[in-house]
Amino acid sequence: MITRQAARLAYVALALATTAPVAVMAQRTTRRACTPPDTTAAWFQQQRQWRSDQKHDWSDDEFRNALLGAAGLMATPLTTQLGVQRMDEASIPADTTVLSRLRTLAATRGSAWPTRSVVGASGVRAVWLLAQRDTALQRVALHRMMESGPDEALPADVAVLEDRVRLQSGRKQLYGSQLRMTNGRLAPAPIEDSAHVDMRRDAAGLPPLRQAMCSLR
Amino acid sequence: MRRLVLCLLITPAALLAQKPIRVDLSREKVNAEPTKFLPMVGSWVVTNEGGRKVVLVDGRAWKKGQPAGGLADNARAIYGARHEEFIDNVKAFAYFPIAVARDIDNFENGEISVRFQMIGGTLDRCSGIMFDLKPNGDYLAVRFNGTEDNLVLWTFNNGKRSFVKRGSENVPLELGTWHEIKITVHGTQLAGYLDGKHLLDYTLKAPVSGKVGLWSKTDSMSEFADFTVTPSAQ
Repeated sequence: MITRQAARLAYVALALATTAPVAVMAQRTTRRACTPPDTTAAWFQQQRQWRSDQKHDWSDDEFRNALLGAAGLMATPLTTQLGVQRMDEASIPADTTVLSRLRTLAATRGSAWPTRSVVGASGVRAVWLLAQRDTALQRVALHRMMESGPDEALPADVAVLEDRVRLQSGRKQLYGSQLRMTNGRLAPAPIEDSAHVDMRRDAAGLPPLRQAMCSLR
Repeated sequence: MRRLVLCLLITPAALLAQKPIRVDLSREKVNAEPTKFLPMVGSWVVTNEGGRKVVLVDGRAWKKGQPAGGLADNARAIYGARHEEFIDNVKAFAYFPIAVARDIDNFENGEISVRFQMIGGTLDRCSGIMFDLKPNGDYLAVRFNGTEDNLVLWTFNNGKRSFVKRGSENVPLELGTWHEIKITVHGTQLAGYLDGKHLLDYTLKAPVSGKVGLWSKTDSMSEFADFTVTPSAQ
């Protein structure tokens, strides 16, 4: 006896079987020039190694959990930083308690900033996400991340944050990470010394800009 | 008598200045370590920039605590028997790539200038002039940092870096454009310039005497050209 649901599933399977090859072919034709980020490349391996929290070697679990909760990362695995984001991307909802704590740390000279050894890799990403809600906070976060060095802050995150800060202060970006809609197309905001943009991205552990843009299509 | 008075009036710095010594990179091999600048810390290579040879410090290869591969040989080349003391101290400054101008034996008074172009660096974008380099690895540096937009004098003594003085104003510079740092030293009087603008004045604790060269920091990527030393008597 065939139920209505089973019949529907059979129909969907049949539809996929007949239309999928056509769709894939069309996709190949239109995206021929688009090379996605190379996951065998050194930048990808470095990021994967950096963002591993398996060792559980951070010192402040309570702060880490608060940060992850506020940034919505509690149940989400840490993603690869491809170094492209929309400038008008909706911000994550604010958690005023955690944001206030970050603002207090930012305003206190010599305070211990939540770096990798304090809140782990996911905690650092949460700080990075939260800082983007606040123009003044993200400036301090950028400075603290730069100061703390590549073991404590992911250079790829530093690069993207620096682009945001520069654009907000009226300067051109350096890594091409901030994208905006121009004539109906997503394109990087103006880049300073664009001739060396991929060299800088490589140094920061990011894929070439074209590959990163490809991942957004 | 009138002539004598005129001579006395003109005499100071201009007449005491000696012939400028410009470090010539034209015979250097592209994609190889420079021979005119001996790398002590960091990755230094000669590259072609717009048809002319320049020295690139490539911070992508920077790793904490790793001096340049040829440190021992290069240290021996400039300090002979005292090279081990130099190496020990330089390792303490492994965050700061340096390359010593091979053919400038000793700089005491005069001018040092270098043109530089910042290309990148996520943590730092520094380009500077190192001077007063002692056989024990101590030195002074005047540098521009593109992440802070400032010109600053630093000292490096016994493994410790110390801030000395910041330039009078911040000057944002664009990456991929050429600029010039210049210092003048007369006795203990130091002055620093960026693109000809006088930004720094400082009275040093002691007169300068030592080797000179290029300076950078951590993952900075910068190109250098036209390193010129103009010694003067005082």
